[in-house]
Amino acid sequence: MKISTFFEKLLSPYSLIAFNLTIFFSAEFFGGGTYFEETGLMHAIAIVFVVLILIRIFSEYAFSDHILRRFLKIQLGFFLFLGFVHVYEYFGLHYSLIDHEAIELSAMLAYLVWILGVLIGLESVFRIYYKKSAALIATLYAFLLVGVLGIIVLNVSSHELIEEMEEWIPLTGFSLIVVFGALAIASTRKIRKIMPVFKEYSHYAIPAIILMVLTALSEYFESTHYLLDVLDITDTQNLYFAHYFMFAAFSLLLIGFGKLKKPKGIYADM
Amino acid sequence: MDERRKKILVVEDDEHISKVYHVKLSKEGYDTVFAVNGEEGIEKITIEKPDLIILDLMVPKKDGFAVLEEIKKNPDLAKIPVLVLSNLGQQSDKDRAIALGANEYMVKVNYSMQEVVDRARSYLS
Repeated sequence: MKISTFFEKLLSPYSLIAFNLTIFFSAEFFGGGTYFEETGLMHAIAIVFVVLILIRIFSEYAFSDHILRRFLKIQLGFFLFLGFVHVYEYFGLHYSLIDHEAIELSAMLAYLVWILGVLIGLESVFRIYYKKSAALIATLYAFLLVGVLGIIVLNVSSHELIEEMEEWIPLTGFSLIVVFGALAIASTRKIRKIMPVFKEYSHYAIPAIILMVLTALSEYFESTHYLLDVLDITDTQNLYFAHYFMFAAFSLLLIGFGKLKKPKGIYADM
Repeated sequence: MDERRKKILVVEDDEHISKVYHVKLSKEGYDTVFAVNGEEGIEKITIEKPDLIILDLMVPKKDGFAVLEEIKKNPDLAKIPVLVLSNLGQQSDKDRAIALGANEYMVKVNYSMQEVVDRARSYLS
């Protein structure tokens, strides 16, 4: 079997569903339901996804036109960034190199950065199609810069500074994720209307964005212990929820990008 | 008698698609000329005077709509049939291209390469 065929099988919906179910049942029922948190395994799984994202990045795509290529490069670049952030989260938490709170908040900001990346990729197409000025894309880049700087600041700040952080700051971060997430969904719906080549991709990208927002919500609750205080849901379970959502979102995106590998019509002859 | 081979000019920035066009159209006995952007397209259409133009709309430098507008304004080129093959699928884009003088509008994901070649042949026979 060719290596590329083997990789494609790894990235098939069936393999990814099986992988996600394995994670879910193993995390919930193995080692009293806390083993995956205690050992850092829940975070370490992100490494597997980074490998899968890399496979997607180096896949052969049927199209090579400048607009679709640029869109794909931006989207896959930010997808890889998100994967790496979670590998960083694993090493940071498991080896206690970085403050726990800082890592949780960094992960939340990483979702904001990813969603902004999705919007920038889409806007790069809309700018050409609608012959728009660079104003909106520049604004998105400005928010992106703020998000990236936020991650850096969090990781170099002292534990005391993070502990004393006003509650409205993470809440603002999460609110921005919701707002930009809604915009990303609207833009993904718009692009599939303009360019039907994105239709199948959008069927996976839209639920993935929703799941990422839910992941950010869980991370936000984890940092505020809200679910523990209000619904008596443990921080471990909260962490698991966040990761189930995230792995499901990663899987959907991997399938979605796969749909762009060989779209229908004339691309089927490539 | 040696009949002149019909010439098809393809304005397309996707090199994968251009390669397939070249193979398929050459097999059908047509000469092919390629342009990777709108400006090059106009230049080559003016020089080559092809028998058919296959035009992508989202191409760099000058988009397909502008190319269409320009060639239809030029009396020497206006009669060349234009088959638009694009990723743009909205009715407004189709209407605009047809209003500008395109003979046919095909969305890339809705037609196979063979169907495109068949349509091209119908304009050249």
